[in-house]
Amino acid sequence: MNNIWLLAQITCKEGLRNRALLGILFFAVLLCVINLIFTNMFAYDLGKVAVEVGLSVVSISGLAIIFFMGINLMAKDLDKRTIYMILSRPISRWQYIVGKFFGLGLLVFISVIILGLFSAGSVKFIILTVPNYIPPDFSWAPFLIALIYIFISLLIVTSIALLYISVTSSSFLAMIITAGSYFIGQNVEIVRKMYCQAEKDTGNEVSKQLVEIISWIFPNLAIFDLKTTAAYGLPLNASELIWPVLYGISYIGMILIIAIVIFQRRELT
Amino acid sequence: MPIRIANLSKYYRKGLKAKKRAIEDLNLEIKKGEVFGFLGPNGAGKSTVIKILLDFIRPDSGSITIKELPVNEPKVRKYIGYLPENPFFYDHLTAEETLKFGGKTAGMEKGVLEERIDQLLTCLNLFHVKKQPIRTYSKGMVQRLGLALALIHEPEICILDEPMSGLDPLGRRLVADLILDMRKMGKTVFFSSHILSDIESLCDRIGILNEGKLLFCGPLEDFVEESTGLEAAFIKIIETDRKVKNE
Repeated sequence: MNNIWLLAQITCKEGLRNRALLGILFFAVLLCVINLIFTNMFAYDLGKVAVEVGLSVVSISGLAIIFFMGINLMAKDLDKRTIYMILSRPISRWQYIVGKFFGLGLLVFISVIILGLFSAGSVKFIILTVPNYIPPDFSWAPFLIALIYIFISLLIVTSIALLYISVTSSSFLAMIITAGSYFIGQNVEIVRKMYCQAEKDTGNEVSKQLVEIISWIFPNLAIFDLKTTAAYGLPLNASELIWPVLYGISYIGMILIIAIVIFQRRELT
Repeated sequence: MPIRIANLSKYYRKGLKAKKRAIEDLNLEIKKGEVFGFLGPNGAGKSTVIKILLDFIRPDSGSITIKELPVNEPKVRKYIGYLPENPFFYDHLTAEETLKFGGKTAGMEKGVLEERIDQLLTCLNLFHVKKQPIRTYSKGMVQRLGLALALIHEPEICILDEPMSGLDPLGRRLVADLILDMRKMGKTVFFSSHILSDIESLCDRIGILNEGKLLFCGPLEDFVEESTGLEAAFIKIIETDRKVKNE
């Protein structure tokens, strides 16, 4: 456990000191300011727009951090052979993968907290300036839960990125495939529902099976999208909330196990 | 026995079916407290052997043990200090943070570790930059930091891949002195080098590898003919081997 923590620490430190992170965070803060201007263009539902845009900024910036920094940090290890510095210590390969995951997870966590604070700040500003346009049931609890869900979905994307990097050391290829997986994960549920409906009319069993398989392989990231719930302050059921969390943790666990199995066999030439 | 290599073979894939031989049936034993020099032309397979010793790559056949333990056991690496040919570090970390990571993974106590870091950095002339990010270091400084990381936990066995590469004469002298100190302390040093004068001045025994085959293994004086010196003897053995293969 000690080795995993040490690895997570240096991974996170390396990421935090990277100027790219500062750039992404600066861009995100700028988006929060733009959120204020953008929201004021709407005649009604200002609170809803502010919350949705604010949470989207957190989500998009988190993805940018994973794509442009997380993947790079891991690919650099293999590309520049910094991995020799790590694996020449008494550290096993599974500890390396888990340590890297926790390090990147910590980086994403810190970023989500910073971005979440700015996003909440922009929403608070709208609440104070135009209180009449805020949905009556709006509260901060769903907003916080929506942020936690965004964090879990970002962790899933991080684990997928780690898996692809374990297969290919090319950061560009890993980024493209991870982005593809994210896109599929966001839309797979809608496509599955559409096919289920279409299948009733056409009876195309093969297509339905194919979509069903894809929906099992790729993560269903749509269930982590609570933007509308947070924007309207819709009631949340504790038992309904726990299932996506368990699903996310299980999915991450499985992806990491696959990444470890592949990485154990990999030759670090 | 600190390092024992028996019947080791390794082939690299070349295309879909073809395989290229990297190491063939290598047998080698490195004794405790000796400085062993591993010599060979480019592509001879020296780095491959070192990477197998560190479990970065896996052999196709044969066995390789360090202190009688298989090299795929992570705890074996507590006994090893390794310097890669071109060491790379996390650019935004400092030398102090990098060495702390190295020491802690080997289970060193905080107080002992801090003392050791200062001692090593002073010895390697890096103390003044210990809190600077590694991205500001020159190539020679990075190489010396690599050596510091290899030695931080006072390993019993040092595996150094081209330790003199990228160093100026002063840096080379520093590294040579460190290797001699390690010998005095009874530690085992296994290193590869192209610089024959370093091999001549530091090694007790040498191994000469060409195209994956060990051509010679023994004390330096058995290999070097008095009149010709190491360089001439080295060229002669490699050329003879190539001629035999071409016939």
